[in-house]
Amino acid sequence: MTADTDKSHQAARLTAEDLRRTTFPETRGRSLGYDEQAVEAFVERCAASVEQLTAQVREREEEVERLRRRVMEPDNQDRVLQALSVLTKAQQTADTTVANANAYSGRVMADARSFYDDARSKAAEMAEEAHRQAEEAADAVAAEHGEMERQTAYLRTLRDVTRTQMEKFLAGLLDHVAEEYGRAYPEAAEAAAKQAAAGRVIRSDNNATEDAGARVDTGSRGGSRG
Amino acid sequence: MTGIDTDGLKRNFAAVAAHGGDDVALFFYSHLFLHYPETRDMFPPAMTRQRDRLIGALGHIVSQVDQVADLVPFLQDLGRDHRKFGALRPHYPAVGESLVATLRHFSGDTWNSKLESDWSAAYGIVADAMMDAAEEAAKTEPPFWEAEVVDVDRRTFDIAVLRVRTAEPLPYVAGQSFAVEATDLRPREWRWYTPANPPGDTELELHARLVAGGPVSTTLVRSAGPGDRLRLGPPIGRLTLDASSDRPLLLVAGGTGLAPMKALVAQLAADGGHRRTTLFFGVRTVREVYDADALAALDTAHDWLTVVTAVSEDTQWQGQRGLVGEVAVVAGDWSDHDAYVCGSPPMVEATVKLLVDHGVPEENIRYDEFGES
Repeated sequence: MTADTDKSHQAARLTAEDLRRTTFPETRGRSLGYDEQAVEAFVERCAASVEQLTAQVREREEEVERLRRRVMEPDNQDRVLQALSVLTKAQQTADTTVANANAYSGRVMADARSFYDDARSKAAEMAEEAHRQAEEAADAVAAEHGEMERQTAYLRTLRDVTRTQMEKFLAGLLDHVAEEYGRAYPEAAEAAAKQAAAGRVIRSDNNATEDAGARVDTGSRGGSRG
Repeated sequence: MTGIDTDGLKRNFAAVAAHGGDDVALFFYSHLFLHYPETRDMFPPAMTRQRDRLIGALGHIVSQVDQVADLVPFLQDLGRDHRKFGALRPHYPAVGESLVATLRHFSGDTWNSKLESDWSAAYGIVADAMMDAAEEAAKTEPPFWEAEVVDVDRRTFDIAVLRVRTAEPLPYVAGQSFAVEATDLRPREWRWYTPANPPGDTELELHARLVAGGPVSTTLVRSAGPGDRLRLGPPIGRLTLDASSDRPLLLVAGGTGLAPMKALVAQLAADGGHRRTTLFFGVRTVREVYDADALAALDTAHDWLTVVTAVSEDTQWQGQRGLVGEVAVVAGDWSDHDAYVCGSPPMVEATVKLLVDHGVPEENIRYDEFGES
């Protein structure tokens, strides 16, 4: 291959073989050309480089092809997507579980809050009612019985009405607690209910004694005034 | 952002988000945890809230991607704030990879190499801003401050005043907030709280209101006790006193929004009490007046301060009745005052609107919304 014919192969990649086969036209007449040996040595060096580089490029191309095949491998992509799907589902389960727990906690607090608010307004109503009944009782006591008797009647009625209201209210609260507890622990709730029933019998006996005592007090107070 | 097709990014993000923000975020975190399992520990078990935050932040960044200069303060705060989660430099490239993979997955056929390189470049800019801010912050402050609960005073069954002591003094300004993690009881869940006292000591007073279903508030009000460890994040917020202003002050607080106002009042007192201040504190029912003694004491102690408590839904209240914003605007002319508003989002929105309608210039109004906890 001569340097001239080389031009027609310019588009194609130069190979080491091309370089080695290239010959150069001799200079005519005067020896103004390059030293033949130097040129040949240089061409040989270029050929060796080209050989080396060509080999490297081929290696890289093969590696890229290997990697591309591995990445594009259908079951590798699928495996990754599968793993992602598993993780996503696990996360969604965790989210739902925690959301349910938070919602439950929220309901408990909302119930407690409205129960508390109801209890407060109920208590306000009861206090007003107690005072109203006490006023009535005080008014019912005829004027000539004196201020002390009126005040006593007021206080006694207030105490009685308030105590009854408190007992009803507490019993209601206890029933509510027992109901909730009973839902969670049925056997224990049954045993507790039996105990509570026994306790209430004793309490109603005490009430009778207390009232008698109170009446005695009123009597003695009235007596000392005179 | 030179060379980046920001319109292309916005279009791509909109198309991806159309698949459902939650699904996109689910894929993102699954991808991140698959490739870097050690990052799972930085997050709480339930990720619903975290996903919302991620999509919100991404949406905000993408919408502003043309005005990067405006974004920078937001990114700097974000980067500094992320230190408390344990975020380090090596995490950022991992997040970038998963982000690009997520976008690629949901883009389907519309994905191309220009989008890939533009997203990577945009993410690089965001991450650099965040990492640089984190590094800058690391020179002067720790990622979080260790603290311990000293006392929990349950004023009502759902409102508690906590005293908390920090190991190192936390450098905040009266009115600022910080994120709190109940490290022993509810790790990796952070919520914002505002100290009710100005800086100066290592003891902080926090007002916590139990939000139904809220993990951190429930813990602080119902489960926390002396000795429980907390972690506090870096302070943020603009509900602070304007040092250059000598205008009188109008403070309007709803519920535990009282906390920053108490801090401001204490700061004003420490500064000499030169500015006439009126504090309106509003709640729905009488039982929610959880700090009456402290407010009465402040009113008595300072002649430059007037405190008014308004109850909106309880017939038992003998004092001012009505929504606190409404009570405030009819009580006086506040147009020459600096106004501060803090409470629930509806309360803040309504109150700010009332103030503006009644002649208070918007630039003189500072507000903070107390959201879910």
